[in-house]
Amino acid sequence: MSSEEKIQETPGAKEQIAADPEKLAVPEVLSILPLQGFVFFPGMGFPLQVSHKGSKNLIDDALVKDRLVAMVAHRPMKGKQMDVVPADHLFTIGTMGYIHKIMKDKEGVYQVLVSAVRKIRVLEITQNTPYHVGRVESISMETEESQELEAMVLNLRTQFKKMAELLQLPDELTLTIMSLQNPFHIAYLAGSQLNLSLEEEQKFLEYEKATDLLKKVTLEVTKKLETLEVSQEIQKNIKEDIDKKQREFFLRQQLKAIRKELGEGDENVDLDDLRKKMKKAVLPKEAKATVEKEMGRLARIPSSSPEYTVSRTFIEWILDLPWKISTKDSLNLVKARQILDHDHYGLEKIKKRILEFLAVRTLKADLHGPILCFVGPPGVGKTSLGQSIARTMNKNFVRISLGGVRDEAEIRGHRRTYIGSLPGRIIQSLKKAGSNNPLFMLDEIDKLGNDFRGDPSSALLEVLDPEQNFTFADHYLEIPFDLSKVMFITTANYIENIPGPLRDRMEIIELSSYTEDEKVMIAKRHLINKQLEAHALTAQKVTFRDAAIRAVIRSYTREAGVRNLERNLGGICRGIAMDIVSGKFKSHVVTEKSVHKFLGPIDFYPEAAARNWGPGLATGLAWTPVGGVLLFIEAAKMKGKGSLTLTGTLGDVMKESATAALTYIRSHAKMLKIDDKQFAQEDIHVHVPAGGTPKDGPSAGVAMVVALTSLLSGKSVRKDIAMTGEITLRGDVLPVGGVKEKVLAAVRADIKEVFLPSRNEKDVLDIPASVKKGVSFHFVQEISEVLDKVFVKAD
Amino acid sequence: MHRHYGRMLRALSVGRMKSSSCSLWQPPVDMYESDSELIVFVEVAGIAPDKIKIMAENEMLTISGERKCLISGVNHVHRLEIEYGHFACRIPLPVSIDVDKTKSEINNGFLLVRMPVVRHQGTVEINLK
Repeated sequence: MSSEEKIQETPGAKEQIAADPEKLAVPEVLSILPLQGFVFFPGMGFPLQVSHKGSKNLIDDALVKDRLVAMVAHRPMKGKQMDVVPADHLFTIGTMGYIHKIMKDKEGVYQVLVSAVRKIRVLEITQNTPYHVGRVESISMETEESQELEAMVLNLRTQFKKMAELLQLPDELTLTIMSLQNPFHIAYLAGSQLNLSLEEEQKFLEYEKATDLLKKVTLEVTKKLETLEVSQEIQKNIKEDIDKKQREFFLRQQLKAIRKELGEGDENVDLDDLRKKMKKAVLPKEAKATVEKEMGRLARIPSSSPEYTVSRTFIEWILDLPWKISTKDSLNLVKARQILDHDHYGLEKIKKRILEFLAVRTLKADLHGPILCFVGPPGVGKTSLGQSIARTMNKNFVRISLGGVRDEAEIRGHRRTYIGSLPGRIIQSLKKAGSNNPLFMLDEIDKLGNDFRGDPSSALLEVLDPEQNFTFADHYLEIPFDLSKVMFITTANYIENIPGPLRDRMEIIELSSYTEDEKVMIAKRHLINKQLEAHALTAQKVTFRDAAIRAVIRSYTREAGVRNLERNLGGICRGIAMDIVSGKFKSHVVTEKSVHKFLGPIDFYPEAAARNWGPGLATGLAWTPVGGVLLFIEAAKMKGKGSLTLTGTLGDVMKESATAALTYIRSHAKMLKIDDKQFAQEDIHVHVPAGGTPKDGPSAGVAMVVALTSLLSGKSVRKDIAMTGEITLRGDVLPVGGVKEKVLAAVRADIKEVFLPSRNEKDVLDIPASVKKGVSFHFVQEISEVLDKVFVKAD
Repeated sequence: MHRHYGRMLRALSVGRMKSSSCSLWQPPVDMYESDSELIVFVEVAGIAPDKIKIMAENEMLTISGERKCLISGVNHVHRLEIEYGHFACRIPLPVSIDVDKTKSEINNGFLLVRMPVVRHQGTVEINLK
């Protein structure tokens, strides 16, 4: 401070060299030292290496004069290294440097310690060789104190400090920045640490206003700071990741060593096997990704952990499924027809449907599998039909029974979170099938349970919808499996018991009861051979007469299907086997007579024949799941007050039907020629045997009217007549269901005439002519038409 | 290569940036402490004694002066290692000194400053009047 005052006391030309360089005046003309690739900021001082001849001359000349040089950066020169920097490559703004020290080494390189004391502008280059000389002027670096400037300086200092910490710059640098006073110096020092390009640094130098410079430098520092923060974050993450991996690796190695010590051996064999299997398996992308992920997980789980098994089982399940394995469908229609005919007699409707499907499949390769539903009484061959269709089409066959399934998890599996969880039955069966286009039989779909544990039928909705089932996702696998190529066949006994939405998705094909002729054919073609084989008999030794088969069907069975028939044929075969073994005979022809011998007393008599007939009795027809039966309506009257008693385990609908019948008769008493006094003086009892079997439905209405009319009028009903139909109070006859079964029952019972509602006429068309032979049908619209014909003619 | 060299040198020489408390160059300084004194040596060769100014405060020693270059009429400079011009350095003192009893002398180009150390012992009770 006091020293500064002294300078002013002793000014002078010669004195200038020795004076404080900070205070040196800028001469009008300075020689210009070009700087390559960097900017010499004012306030800085550091050694330069000068090896260029021109520059060395310049230094030598400056040293004997005032030790001052202009230092100006130049733009990079493309191409050849030139001796002299062209004047137009030099920037115009530079600094004036004061040479403090100089050393010259043996090679002639000058080490020049220079400090930049002023900022200057080159106005004009006046000399080019051996070095540039130019007219210069000083640029002021004075600043006016203001709050804005102060704030900016403070801000830059703070930002720089942060940056220096991140970059791990020497503490000295931060201290210097803190202690510097001139805002220009602060900014230049900060700016020089950013590793910016020459052009950008030169721009710093060219700002004339301190605020502009500070703004720009602060911006650059902040930018750098942000970049650093982000890159630090990244580095941190990478480091953490690596640390974790290394730790894991280390622990794993340790674990291996411990295992080895314990003699537990290497579990990798297991994993290798899985890996081999994985390479072989053809998987869709999604499944592959899942398996790979799970394999990675598995490798990290010790084999003793329960998790290991869970993970392993999961992988095996995925690998075992036939994701892309399809069998080739046989599309030979002629052969298909042969197989179907060979396996099953009759069932024309279904055979036709299968052949149609095969035909379309021939034309269109990517056909969705059809979803069929076979509805029919037990024993008509629904399940075996499925097998034979599979054989016809050369498909793999799988079958699951849905009877009693009441948990949706059985269909879709359990989530893997549960211990011991497995995929659902659908996926399990597909694994069993070994192809993705098997024939999949869902038996007893009408017997699905449904309770608080879930609703399996809802889960089946997805399976059986061709629009959804190509992405069927099992809870266990959680990867969609394409079920669209699977041909689903479901079976049911009662179509009413299938939930509506499910029924809607399937193509229902009804299999009705077999007629007697069909049963005979089935017995001859399949059952007898099967039973003979089962009892080690041959067709040479044993022959069945048709009459014998018919006798078995009529007297020992009463069913829609052929199960009991087969059982009884088996009984006969057992008897024959016994006789052959005991030496009674060597071969046998089974006749009607020998049937009774082998099977004992007759089980079933023709129903109508067994009755005590008289007024008040009428023959109705009923449908049961095992086929049609005759339903007798008995009515009796006794002294009383006109009440109606109904017995025989009747359901509400049937009771109402009886009441309606009585009401019809009372209201039409005159027309029916019935004494209406009876209604007040007598009680009426209607009974429907057998009393132990629950009965319901409206179809006995006609028979009720006939029975009551017979009772009240005292006329007997003809024994060889049967009837079915619902009635209204007006006497209209409404259509009913199960007509085929009912007619078969009537034929079996030797009924000659059958009364049916006129709107059921179409159902009769389905019945084979051979069956209808000998029976006449009356299609009626009103009950009066029935009453006209049913009574025994008084002769 | 050349280009990076310049930058590198610039980066290495941060310390030379002038802060407000120091001049562009400073003479080398040694400082010693004995039981009773603080001794400071400053290398001031070539500086006229009357150009040197020493100011001792309680915890700061300020030395300033000027070294003049005596050479003139040369036509080539081969080596230049001695700093010339004004200097001023403020040397913080590690202990308190007795400013009044400070002595200085110049001997063989060294400036020697001796400053007696003041050591306070115990607490002093101040009586209120």
